[in-house]
Order: sequence, then C-alpha cells, then structure tokens
Amino acid sequence: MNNMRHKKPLLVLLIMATVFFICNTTESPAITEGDPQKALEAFATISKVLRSPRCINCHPSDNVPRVGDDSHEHLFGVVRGAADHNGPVQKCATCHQNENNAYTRIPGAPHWGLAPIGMGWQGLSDAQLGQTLLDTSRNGNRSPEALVEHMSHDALVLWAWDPGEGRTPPPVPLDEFRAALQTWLENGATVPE
Amino acid sequence: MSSSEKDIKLTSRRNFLQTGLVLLGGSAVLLEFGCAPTQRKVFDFVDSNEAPNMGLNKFDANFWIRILDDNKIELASPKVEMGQGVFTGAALCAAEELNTHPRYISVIHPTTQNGPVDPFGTGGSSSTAGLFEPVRKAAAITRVALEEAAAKIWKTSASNVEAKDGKVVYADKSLSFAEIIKQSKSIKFRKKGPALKTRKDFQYIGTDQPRTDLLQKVMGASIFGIDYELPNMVYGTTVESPYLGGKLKSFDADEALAMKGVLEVQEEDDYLLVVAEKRYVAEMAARKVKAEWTVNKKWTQEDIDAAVQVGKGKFESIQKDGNAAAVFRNKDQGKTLEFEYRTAAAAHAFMEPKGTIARYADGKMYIITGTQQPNRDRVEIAKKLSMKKDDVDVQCAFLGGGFGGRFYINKVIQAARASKKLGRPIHVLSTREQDFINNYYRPSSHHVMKAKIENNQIVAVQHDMATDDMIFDFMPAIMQKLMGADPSSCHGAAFNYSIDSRVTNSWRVDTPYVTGIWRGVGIVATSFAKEVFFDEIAEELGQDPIEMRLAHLKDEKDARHGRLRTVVEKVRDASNWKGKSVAGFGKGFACAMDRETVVAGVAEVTVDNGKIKVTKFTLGIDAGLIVNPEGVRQQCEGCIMMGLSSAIYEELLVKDGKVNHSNYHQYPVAMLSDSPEIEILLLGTGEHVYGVGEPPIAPVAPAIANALYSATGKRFRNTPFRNDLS
Amino acid sequence: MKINFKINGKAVSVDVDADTPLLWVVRDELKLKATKYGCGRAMCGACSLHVDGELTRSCSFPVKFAEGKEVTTLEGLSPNEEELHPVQQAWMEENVPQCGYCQPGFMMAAAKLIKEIDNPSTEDIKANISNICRCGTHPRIIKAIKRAAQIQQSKTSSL
Repeated sequence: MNNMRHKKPLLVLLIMATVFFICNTTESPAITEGDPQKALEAFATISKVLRSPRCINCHPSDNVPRVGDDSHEHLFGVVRGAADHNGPVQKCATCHQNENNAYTRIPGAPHWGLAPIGMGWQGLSDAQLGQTLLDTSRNGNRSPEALVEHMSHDALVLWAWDPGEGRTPPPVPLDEFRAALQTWLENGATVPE
Repeated sequence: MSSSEKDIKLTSRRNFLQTGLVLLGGSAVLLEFGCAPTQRKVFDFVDSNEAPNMGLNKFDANFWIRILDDNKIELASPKVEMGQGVFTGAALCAAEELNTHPRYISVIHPTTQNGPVDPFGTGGSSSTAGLFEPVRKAAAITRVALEEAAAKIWKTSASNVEAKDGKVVYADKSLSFAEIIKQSKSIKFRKKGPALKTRKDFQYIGTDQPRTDLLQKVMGASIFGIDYELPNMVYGTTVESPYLGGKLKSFDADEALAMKGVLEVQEEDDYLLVVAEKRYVAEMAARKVKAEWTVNKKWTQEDIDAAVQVGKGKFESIQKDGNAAAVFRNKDQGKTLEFEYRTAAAAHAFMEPKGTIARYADGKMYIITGTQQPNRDRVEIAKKLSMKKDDVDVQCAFLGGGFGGRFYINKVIQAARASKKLGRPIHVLSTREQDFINNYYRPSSHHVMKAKIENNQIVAVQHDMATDDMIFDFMPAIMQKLMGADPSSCHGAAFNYSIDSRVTNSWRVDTPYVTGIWRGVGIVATSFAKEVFFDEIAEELGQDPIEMRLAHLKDEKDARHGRLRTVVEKVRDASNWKGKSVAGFGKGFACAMDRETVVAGVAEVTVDNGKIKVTKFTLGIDAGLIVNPEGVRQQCEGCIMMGLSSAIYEELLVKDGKVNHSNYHQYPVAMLSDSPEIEILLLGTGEHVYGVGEPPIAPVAPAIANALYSATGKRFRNTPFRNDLS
Repeated sequence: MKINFKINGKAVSVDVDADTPLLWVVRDELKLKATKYGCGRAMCGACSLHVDGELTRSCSFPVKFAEGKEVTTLEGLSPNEEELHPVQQAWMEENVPQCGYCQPGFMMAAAKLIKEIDNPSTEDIKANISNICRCGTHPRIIKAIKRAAQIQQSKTSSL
C-alpha cells in the first residue's frame, strides 16, 4: 500500500516535467533574429573554449583521443573504437570513472569518451566549426537550443572547468561561456561564413 | 618443528656462510698486485668465466633438502626465484638424483637464518648453472642416506633397495621417505656422495618441465614480498628527494599529520617516512608533506652526455693483442673505419615496486622482501642498526621481476629502521614514481670503434668505451685495483673474433646517479656497438655479414668459436637469411659470446609510417647442457622482449636536476603490440650447464639495428631508436 | 563510510575512506592479494579486475563506486584448481608466467577479451590489451589467449 501511495505524486511530477520540457524546447524557441554581429562576437568566445585542449582533445577528427595541454596522442593504444569508447575489452571506463581521481590523477566525468567522429573539430576553420556545430546530421540531431543546453550543462562539458591538477581549464570562465552561448542563441545562432 | 625435520637437520648456517667468505678472501690475497697486464688477466678471467659459486661448494645435504611429515620433499634454494625459473631447474636437479619425479619436490626460499642462501646473491645468469652440481650432490647424498636407512629397517643390503618417487622400494615392500625417517633412530649422511649421473643417464634433466610455481602464479597466490602481512602491521610511504643528490633541508608535515589514520612522520637523514594505518592514507599523506631539499647542482642530460665520453674519466686497458697501435698509425696502407655508438641509461622498471615488511621485536629483526641479495640486506641492517647479524633474519619471497634491479632494496633499511622506532611491523612500499626516481640505473655508454682494412681483410680493431660502474660498488674496494675496469660495465667489450690486432679500452666515468647492473650488464651496450660495427665492416668489405662473422670464428683453441659457428649456421638457415628482400622490410644479424654461452639472432623488421615493427626474431643458443629446455625458451623470449624494449624505447634522461621519468607514460617499454613472432633454436652441447638469463639479450639490439639499416638505408648507432622515424 | 558490494560472489561490507582505491580494499581489507599494485596510475594493468563484468583498473576506481556492484578478482575466476577458467587453463598449458606479478591483471583482461571476441586473432589481442609485462611473456600470452578462446568454445559446444 505504501508504495502505491508514493507512486501517484511521482507520476504527476513526471508528466509535469515532460510538459515543461516540451514547452521549453520546442514550443517557445529561445532563438530570435537579434543582431548577427553580436552572435558572431559570442561565437568567437565560444570557439575559444571549443578549441581549448579540454574540449578538442575528446573531439578529434581522427580516431585517437588526445591528452594534456599539449594535446599529445593518448598512450597505450587507446583509440576511438566502434562506440567512441575505445574497444570492447578496454573501454574508457576501464580507467576513467565519474569524477577526477585524486589518487591516480586520472581525469573522470560521467560518460567519459570521445565525441562522435562527425563532431571532430581538429583543424577546422571558425566557419567549419560553426557549420559542424549546427549540422543536425552530425551534432546528434540537436537544435541550436539543445546544443546550447548541452554545452551549458552537460557534466562532461562542465568537467573542462574542473579538470584536475595539471590541466588548464578553457581560457574563458564558465559563466562567460554560458553567457556567450545565450547571446549567440538570442542573436540568431549565426556562425562565420 | 616436525620430528622428521628435527632428525634430519643437523648442521648450522654459520659453517656454510663462512665458506663463502673464506673463498673470497683467498682469491683476494692471491691477486693483490694491480698492474695493467695482471689487471687484464683478472678482468679477462671474470669476463669470460662462468660466475663462480662461491659459498655453494661445501655444504651438508640436510641443510638443503628436508623431508616433511607428509612426505613432501622440500628443497631450499640458495638462489632466489625472480621469474628466471631457478626453482624449476633446481627441482629437476634434485629429482634426478632422488630418482623422484619433480612434481614431488617443492622448492622454497629459506631465510638467511635457516637455510642455504647464496652469500653473493642471485644474478649473472648463474642460478640454475650454479645449482647444477650442489643440488644434485645434496640429492644424491640424501638418496643414499634414505636407501641405507631403509635397508637397515628391512635388514638387507642397501644394494637391494632403490629410491623411487618419494619412496624406497625393496622387492614387494616400500616405505615413504618420511616413514623411513620416522622408523629410524638417526639418518646417517655420508660426507662423500655417490658418483653423479651423467648426461646419457638423465631421465628428468633435459626434459621440458612446466614451472614448479606455475599453479601458484596462475591462481594468484600471495607469494610476492609485498603480499605478506604481519599482525598489527602498519603502512609506510617515504618522502624522498626528487633531485639527484638532494639532501633534506626542512619540512612541514602538519597537514599530513592532521589526516585521519596517520600515526607519525619519521625524520631520517635524507628522507621522511609517513606511517599510517592504511596504505592509501600513507600515500596520500606523504603527498601532503612539504619538504625542501638542498641541491648542490641541478644536473642536466647535457652534463651527463658530456661526461660519458671516450677520452674522459679513468683509462683502463682491457685487451691488447698484436700490434694495433702501429697498424693504425700507418696511414699509408689500407683504410681505417671509425664510428661512434651510444646506448642510453635505463631503468629496471620491474612490475613489483620495491617493498619490504619489517618486524622488530625483542631485539630481533625479521624482514620479508623480494631481493636478489638476502644476505647483503641482512648485513646492511646489522651494520646500520648496530645489531648482531644473527639477530637479523631475512625471508626472501618471490620477486616481481629482478633484472639486476634488486641487488639493493632501499626499502629494506627504511622498513627496518621504522619498525625499530615504532615497535610494530611495517610495510614500506615504493610508489612507482619512487621506483623510477629514487633508484639505481643501467649507465649510458659511449663507444668509439675503429677497424683497419688492408687487402680486403680486417687487420686490426679497437674498441674504446666510456661508461659508469655497475658492480664495483657492490664489491670490496680492492677489486677495483685488481681488475681496473668494471667487469660488469665492460662485460663483452673485448673482441672475440679472430683478428690479429685487437685493442679494448675502458674509460671509467662518473655520472650523478647511482649506476648498477641491469639484465645482460655491459653486453647490452658492448654487443650493440661491436655487432653494428661489424655489420658496417661487412658492408665496407662487400661481404655477407654472416659469412664474414663465420670467417672470423676460427680460433681452434677457443671451443666457443666452433660452437658459435654451429649456432650461426643454424640461425642463418632457420631464418631463411638470403630470402628475397622487399622495400621497407629488412633482416639483420648479430651474435655474441657471453662467458661460455654462445648466441646468434636474426631480426626481421618493417618500417611503416615511421613505426618500427620487429616482425620476427630467430634466436639460436648453445648454453651447454640444458636442464629445462622449456625454461631456457622462456629466458630467451624474455631477453628478446627486453632487448627489443631497450633498443627501441628505453632511455632514462635527467632534466632540471631530476630523473625525468616518473612512470610508464614517460618511460615506455615493449608491450603486447610489439611482440614479434619468435623462433628459438636450442643447441645444447656437453656436460656443463652455462648461463641463459642474459646472453640472449646480446644480439637483440644490434640485430634490430642492422635489420633497420637493411630496411631503410639508415644506420642506427644510438639506442633507443625511438619509435618515430618520420 | 560503509560500502557494500559483492566480491567473487560473496557479499561484503567495508568501512573505509570512500575514496580508497578498490585495489587497496581488495588487497588489504579483503585479503585477496592476486590484484597487484604496479604503477598507481591506471597505466600498467596489474590491478585489473572486473566490476559488473567490465574490465576495471582498480587503482583508479574509488571503492564508493563499487556500492551494490559485483567485483570479480582472479581468485574468483574459477571455483577451484580442478575447474579452471579457460584463461587459467590456457595459462597452465602454455606455461606463461615468469615472475608472475603482472599475470593476474593480464588474465583478467584476457577473460574479458574472450568474452567479447570469441575467436581472437593476434592483431585483436595486440589491439585490445595494453597491460605491461617486463619479463617478456608477451608471445606466450598471445598464444594462451588464443588457446583460452578455443577452450571456451569447446566448453560451450559440449554443453
């Protein structure tokens, strides 16, 4: 009986959350026309972050993760693998857990792994980087809003600002990055030509 | 102690240990005069002869072999098991003379107090070879004693009974060894044992046997030094200078001491030791200690490379045959080839970091550790802690790799001191970082090779090598006078090929870190320089490198020449040496004599996108009589992998006063992906057992370098080649 | 902090600092010493074990993450010496170990490998195990893994 009583409010909450989510993401788009110049300025800030080793190391354009501020190739034969998480035997999670490890100094965050090959950012111009970000066939079918949501709140993205000893965070503070994302979105999510 | 142990254990350890010391004293007196020709002779003797088993010649059989109540035959091995397979070799030797299958025999590490421990340690490829005579003797004496005791029980002549698989059999009757001991008032051992079996009579020696420790190692049994626990034990982690030669100036341990579970921080002359209830806490607390170090000089790699240079340091003559000086002086005739070679310093990097468990109680010290020198550890503790040697007992456990890196375990004395201060057992373990940074290393080397070619013949060769010492620090100081050149550092430096004029010189230099032995000792460097050089000479002469070597192995007074010729021919044929060559693929050859063992190898390599891949290595070896072919194969495989690793990857560098490699990401070693196809040809001859743990490493680096030349047209005169040729 | 999990099929509860590496919990609290400390940086693989069937380097796995999970060490790979896991049986048949220190980690990696790749080639093995061995048992490890896969197959087909 106890269980039954608890289930109902939970269900209501769940429905409410879903409605809220749908309203927020699809029915009232945050994207507005705005000032394309402002969007481009914001994108310049965003790209500084994306190009930092903390982000681009796991967004390689090839099949080898990069490591460290010097973005050297990951040692010990670690590769992308079929599911972006190294092989079927040794996976990223063989060594990387949900948080940075103080004992081994191995970095960690939830779903540690590589971005899909389509989201490889190495060697891209700003224009290419922007197009790649917005290309729903490559970005995991994300709308600009979903993209901003991902970059503002995803645990693995946020790890970049708490990367552990010996790793430099992105050159833009997290709040400025989030603000830039918002500005970019509010001004048409324009990317360089 | 069981009753059978009591009956059978008759003698004391002291007699045994003294024998070793007396022998060494004897040789020291004989060879006291240190002038160059004598030094060359002494050096040559040490360089070319099998390591003597000082201390293992005289013994009492029952000190080595015990029959336990359950009829288990326990053999105490004076040599430690570090993976080289000596326990299996020793079991085979005992089995042969006990007429008992090796599976009935268990081999153990005795402690320094209760069994035979070689006072000179385990190394120099001498473990199975060194035990071949004494273990068989001990087993034969034991067998005869048991047969005679059984005959007495049955009231018959000893010639009517026979030992077989743990029993003595007489007609249709049989008694187990343990039963015989139980039924006998005393067991009499004859001083002089029976004649030992020879090669033709062997039933176990020479057969393939799996390792005696195989099941333990496959099941993950607790057998390594750092696996042990003692009641009430605590854990210790040291804080040691990251700088070469750094001395402790000041420290602040408040933050460490405030951590839950930290018991104390002990201050010693040159390090600190954090003691905690848990290993994790000890390590994390050690990181919180802020220590300052006085550093007189911050060494750089450039300093070291400049020091390790032919022409610098102390000159010692090693070999002087014929009249090389005059031949080289004569510039009118022939052509002089001259090339320089370098090998890098290297770490042992064995998988089990150095660790020790020490318990000090009631004036006695008990040590458990994986060590190549249990007796040295015992002596050092006694000396440094002002204890009597007899109050220190060292139990060696299986070593998680040795390679010459466990001749000195800094953790032993650290743990002993700590336990004495604490009055509790302590487990002191190196972090991997400390094992890389606070350790001793294989020294780097520099070689200048010269050859004089006249009428398409090699008429003179000269090898000058500069390197730091490997063994002198472990020997009485007088040995430096006696030998001049360090016999380990310069091992294999002298030429063995039949050439009229041959000169070899050593330049003893000093580097800022402690240098010591590493698998193969000097032959890793000397064989590399010599055998790449001979490949270059063969090219100059327009001769096939193998045929040129064969033509220079014609000294009929040196039996090794004939044996090596055979090995070289077999390896040549097995490796299809003259098979067609393809672009980007190459074969290379090298051979060596290491004391009495002769080896040859052919490496096959490809270079793809700048990456070196050794695709196959064919190795032939004649190490005399082979006790366990399966064990020899393992040692050959080990040498190929370690030789490959050293040749391609390993180099220990110094930067800003520190060793620049703290872990495997900065000190890469060969991995599964580097593993070539391996073919081993065992060509054992004769009645003598020679070393196999190190000789096979000699041809590996030069054969790979020569193969790389054939694949790329580029000479590789420095190790490591670094696996990036792009 | 109390953490509850299963080790080799047995439920255990340990009371240690939650960030203690599973390696030291397994060795020092649970007294299972097959799992080795090698590098302390998840590079050598000597501390490899399985957590919920996934290969895990236990030096870099805080024990708090084991809560409610099933941990298997080499000691739990087979019920006893007579019924060896295919990997252990193959290791026996190929006489693989030398010093033996790295072997538990290699065997745990191999056990996972033959589960994922039932008929591995030499290249599969080289690409999927990055443990470190210093004695040079590499060629035997490769042979033994292939043999273990065969043993596994013959056991499955005979069922």
